[in-house]
Amino acid sequence: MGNFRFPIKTKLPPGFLNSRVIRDNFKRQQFAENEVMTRALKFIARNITLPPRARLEAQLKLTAMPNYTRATQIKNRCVETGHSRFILGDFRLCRTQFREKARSGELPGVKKGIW
Amino acid sequence: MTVSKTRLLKVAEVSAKIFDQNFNPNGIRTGSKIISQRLKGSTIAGYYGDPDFLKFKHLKALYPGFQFCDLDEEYRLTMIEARKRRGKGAPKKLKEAGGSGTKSKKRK
Amino acid sequence: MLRRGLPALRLVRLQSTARTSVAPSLTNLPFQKAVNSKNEESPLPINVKAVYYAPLKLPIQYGDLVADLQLRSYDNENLDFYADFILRVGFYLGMPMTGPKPLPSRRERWTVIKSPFAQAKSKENFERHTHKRLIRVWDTNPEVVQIWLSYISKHAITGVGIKCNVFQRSKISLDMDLNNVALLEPQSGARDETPDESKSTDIIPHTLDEAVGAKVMELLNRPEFKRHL
Repeated sequence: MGNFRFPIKTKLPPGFLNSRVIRDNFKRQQFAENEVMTRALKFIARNITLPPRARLEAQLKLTAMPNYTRATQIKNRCVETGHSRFILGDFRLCRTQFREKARSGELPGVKKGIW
Repeated sequence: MTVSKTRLLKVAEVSAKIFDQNFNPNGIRTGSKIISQRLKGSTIAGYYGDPDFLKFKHLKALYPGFQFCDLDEEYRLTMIEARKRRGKGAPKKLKEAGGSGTKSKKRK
Repeated sequence: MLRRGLPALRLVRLQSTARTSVAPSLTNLPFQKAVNSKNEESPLPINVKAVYYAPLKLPIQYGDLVADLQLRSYDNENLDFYADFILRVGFYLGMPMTGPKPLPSRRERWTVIKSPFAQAKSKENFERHTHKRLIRVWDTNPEVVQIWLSYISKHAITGVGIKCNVFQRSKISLDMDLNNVALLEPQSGARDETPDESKSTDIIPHTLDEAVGAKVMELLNRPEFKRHL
């Protein structure tokens, strides 16, 4: 591997990889790393009892943080294929993978629904 | 029986003190909502699984004395062999320096 | 001492009922037949015989809830068998228990487009049922509960998750002596391949929340914030 294309080097996840999975994984790791900081800044910014200037300072710091530290940038992706649509959160799979696995009995407890 | 509001407030304050809760009768935004939320970083970061999960190549490096059988790799090699026998293998590389020379020219 | 004496009493009572009412049905079992053919004089030991009946229970004396155990599984057969086993273990440890009370089973359903591309009108349904059972333990020494828990988790069945809430009384100034509570010590014995695996006491260490609080204090002590305060 040559130089990592993201500002901070992170380990690659196991399983399926493509550029979008790697990018999402990077954002996830960065979000986890900076979570305490963002939480603290957000708390200061939203706390009315603190002086307004301090709150403004905190808000400015919060907005100055890079985009990859935000939870809104994270999108669930299929662990098997990297697909981003129709992800079943319980299994982290997209609909086709979910269907295939459920039919072959790889997902414990999942049966064909009859009702 | 009616109880005055101040008295009730006092009771609420004392109970909050005992049970280590926030007492905020005026509903001032203290940001306690933000601080009391759980941190979800570890679950979000663990979505794709453990990056240190053992892979086949690590296994070989960890136990050099053992012989492991990588079925996928073996299958790939047999398929390449079969293709070569049918004359459908990958073309041989050009041995002359001309090939690399053209490349270097292009770069310039 | 009284509690220790109880199991024997109950067993004697079972013996009498077994002889009178339900004994004929027992003779049909192959195991019983084999034993009988060998020697008629010695019957099955009473504790072996008890296996053929519903698990015995000790009466609740003081009504002090000590622990509640929730079992979850996608398959009710293993679940019921395991609940039965747990009750038997509890009986021989002298623990009054109630249950297994069936809790409302959770039904999850998914509807998925069959085709990988287009043809969105044809769909396929999948579902998953999570069955739950609740077993409650009364009037028992916490040490006995720990023994019971470790024995249960040692003989756990695949596909059944255990979640146990152990209750312990303490004084009202809880925060002060929270560190001294025995329950907060990390417990060994994690479960495997279970739907909702967690064998835990219901108290969570607040380390992460404290991290945010500490960060806030650290930030407020920085010069760029300090000059505004």
